[in-house]
Amino acid sequence: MLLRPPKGEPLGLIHSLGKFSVFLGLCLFLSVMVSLVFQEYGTAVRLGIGAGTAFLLGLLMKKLPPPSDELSLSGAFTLATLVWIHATLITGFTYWETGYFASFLDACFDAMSGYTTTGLTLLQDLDHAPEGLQFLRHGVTFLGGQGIIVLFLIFASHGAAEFYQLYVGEGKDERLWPNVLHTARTIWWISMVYLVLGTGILYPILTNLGLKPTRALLDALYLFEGAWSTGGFAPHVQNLLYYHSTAVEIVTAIIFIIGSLNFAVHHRIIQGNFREMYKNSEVRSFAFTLFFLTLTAAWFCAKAQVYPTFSTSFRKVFYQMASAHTTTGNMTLYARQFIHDWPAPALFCLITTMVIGGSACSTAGGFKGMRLSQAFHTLLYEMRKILLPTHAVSTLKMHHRKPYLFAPEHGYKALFIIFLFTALYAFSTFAGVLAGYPMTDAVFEGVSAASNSGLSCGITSVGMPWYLKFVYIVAMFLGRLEFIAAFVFCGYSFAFLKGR
Amino acid sequence: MFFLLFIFTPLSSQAAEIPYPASLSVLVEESPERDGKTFIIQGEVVGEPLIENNGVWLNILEEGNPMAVFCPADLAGTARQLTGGNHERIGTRIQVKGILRRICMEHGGDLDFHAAKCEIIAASKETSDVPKREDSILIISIIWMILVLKIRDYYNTSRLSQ
Repeated sequence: MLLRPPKGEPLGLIHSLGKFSVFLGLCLFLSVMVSLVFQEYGTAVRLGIGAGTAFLLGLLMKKLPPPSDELSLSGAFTLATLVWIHATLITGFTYWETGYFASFLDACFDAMSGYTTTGLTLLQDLDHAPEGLQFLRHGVTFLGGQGIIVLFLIFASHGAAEFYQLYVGEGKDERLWPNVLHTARTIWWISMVYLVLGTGILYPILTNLGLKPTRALLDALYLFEGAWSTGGFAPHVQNLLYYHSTAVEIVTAIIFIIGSLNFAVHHRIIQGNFREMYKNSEVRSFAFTLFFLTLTAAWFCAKAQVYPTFSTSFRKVFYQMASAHTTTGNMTLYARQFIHDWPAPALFCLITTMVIGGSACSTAGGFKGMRLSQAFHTLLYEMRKILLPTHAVSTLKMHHRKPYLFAPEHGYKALFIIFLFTALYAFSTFAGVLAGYPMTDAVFEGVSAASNSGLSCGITSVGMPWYLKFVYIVAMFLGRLEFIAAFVFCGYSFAFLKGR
Repeated sequence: MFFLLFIFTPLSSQAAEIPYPASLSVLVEESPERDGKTFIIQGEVVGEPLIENNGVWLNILEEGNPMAVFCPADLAGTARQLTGGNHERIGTRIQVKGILRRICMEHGGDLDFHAAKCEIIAASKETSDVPKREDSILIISIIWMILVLKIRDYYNTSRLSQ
C-alpha cells in the first residue's frame, strides 16, 4: 500500500523551496551588479527581471506554512530535486530574458548544462554576450560544481541534522566532518582558496598574451570557474582554442584534474596527509584509466597520421582525454574534428573516459572512478571465491581516507548505479539516432550529455530537434543527481496523488 | 589613414581564381581535403588580438563559425591595431587570403589559417545596450510587488511581537 506523505509536508517543501528561491534571487542579483559596472544598462534590467522574479516567487512561496516536523527522507530527496528544477527554470528564464537564446527551452538547456557542470551550450553569439550574462553563466557552473544545495545550506539553514538528507540528495554523500554544515563550509572554503590561486596564476598568462587587464582578470576568473567546476564553459565560442596558448592549456588541465578529485582527498591533503593522493583507490583508478586510455588513443591517432608525430599526438590527445575523463569539456579542437580526424579506436577511448568520469563527491560527472574500482574489486572477489577453497576467507583492501576491507555489498551497489548510467547513456544515444544523427555522433553527444562532460562533436546546436534538447536536459539532470533523488521525487509525487 | 594603410594588396581581382568557401564551417568540415590550399575568407574580428612570438592571432567569426587566423610578423603590427568585437561593439570585418593548415606544426597541431594578405572591409562600430520601455515597466512592477510584500511582512511581524 502506498502511503501519502505526512500531512503538511508537501506545503512545507514549497515553503523551503521559497527560501531557496529568495537565496537564488540574491545570487542572480550579483550579475545585475556586474552589468551595471560595465554600463550594460539594458542587460542589467533584463537580468534584474529574472532576479526579481526569483525573489518575488520566493516571498510568495514562503507564505505557505513551514514544515511542522523534521523532513522525511523522501521529502528531503524531493526537495533536493525541486531545488534543481526550480533553479534551472528561474535561471533559464533569466537567460532567456537577455535575448541571447533562441527559445526558453534553449535557455533552460544552458542553465541545466551550467548547474550540472556539463558545458554544452545553446547560447547564440557568445563572443558578443554581455559581461553580466558571462558572469552569471560561469557563476552558475561554479555554483553547480560545488552543489547548489551545499551553498544554500551555508547561508540559509541553521545546521539542522535533517539537511544531511538534502545534501545526499544532490549526489554528494560524503561527510568531511560529522556536521553537514561544517562539511558544506569546508567544500566552499577549499573551492574559494583554489579560485584565488587559479585566477591569480591565469591572470599574468593572459596579460602576456596581450589581453587588457580587466579582460584578462575576467577571462582568468571564467576559465578557472569553468575548469574547476569541470563545467568547461569559456567566454569565447572557440573555447580554449581561442587563446592559442600552451600555458593556458597546462594550467586549465591542472585545474580541472584537481577539481575532479574527491573533496575528501583535498581535505586530507590540506590536513597534511599527502600520501592520500597516491593511496586513494579512486585516484589510482583515475590515474590508471587516464594514462592507459590516453596512450592508446594517442597511439591510434599517430598511427592514422592524424598528427604527424607521437609527441604532437600525445599533447593534443592528452588534453581532450583529461578534459573528457574529468567530464570538463574544455576543448582545443573544433567540434567536427573529433568525427573527421580521430580514428574510431581513439574516439572509443575518448567516449570511455566520459563514461567513467571523475571522482565521487567532486565537481565531476560520469559513474565515477570509485564505482569502477569497486566493480573491479567485485570481479576479483567473485573470482577468488570460485578459485580458492570453499572454507578460505577472501579479503580485499581498498583505500579511501583510510584503509578498509572491501565488502561485496559496496560492489553490488556500485554495479547498480553503473547499470543505471549505462541505461541513461543508451537512452540519450537512442534519442540522437532517432533524431537522424549518425550512430557515432549520437553516442558521442549522448554520453557527453549524460556524463556531464560537455565535449561536443557538433550535434548540440540551436537547430537540433526540440525533443533531443529535452532528452539531453533530462540526461544531464539524472546524471548529476545520480538518479536516486529524481526517482524518489517521482515516487513522492505519485504517492501524493494516489497514496492513502 | 589607418584604414588605407591596412590594404596591402587589392584582392578583388584574385578572388575569382581562388575557391571561396561558403562559410568558415566548410573549411573546418572539409579540412582534410582543403588542407594546405589557399583561400580567401571573411569574418568579424572578435576579442582582442593575441600576441604570439613571431606574429599575432586574430579570431574571426562568420555566421557563428570561428576561425583562428595567424598573422605573421609582416602583418602583425597593423593586425594588432584592429578592433575586436565584444558586447560593446561589432569588430572590424576583414577579408584574409591565406593557407588553411589542418594540423599546424608551428602551432602545436591546431587547425588554423595563416594569413598572407589582409584587407579591412568594414570598420568596427559601437552598439548600444539601453533598457526597453516594456522591460523597465516590468522591473518596476516586480520591485513594487516585492516592496509591498516586505512591508506587509514587516508590519505583521511587528504587530505579532507587540
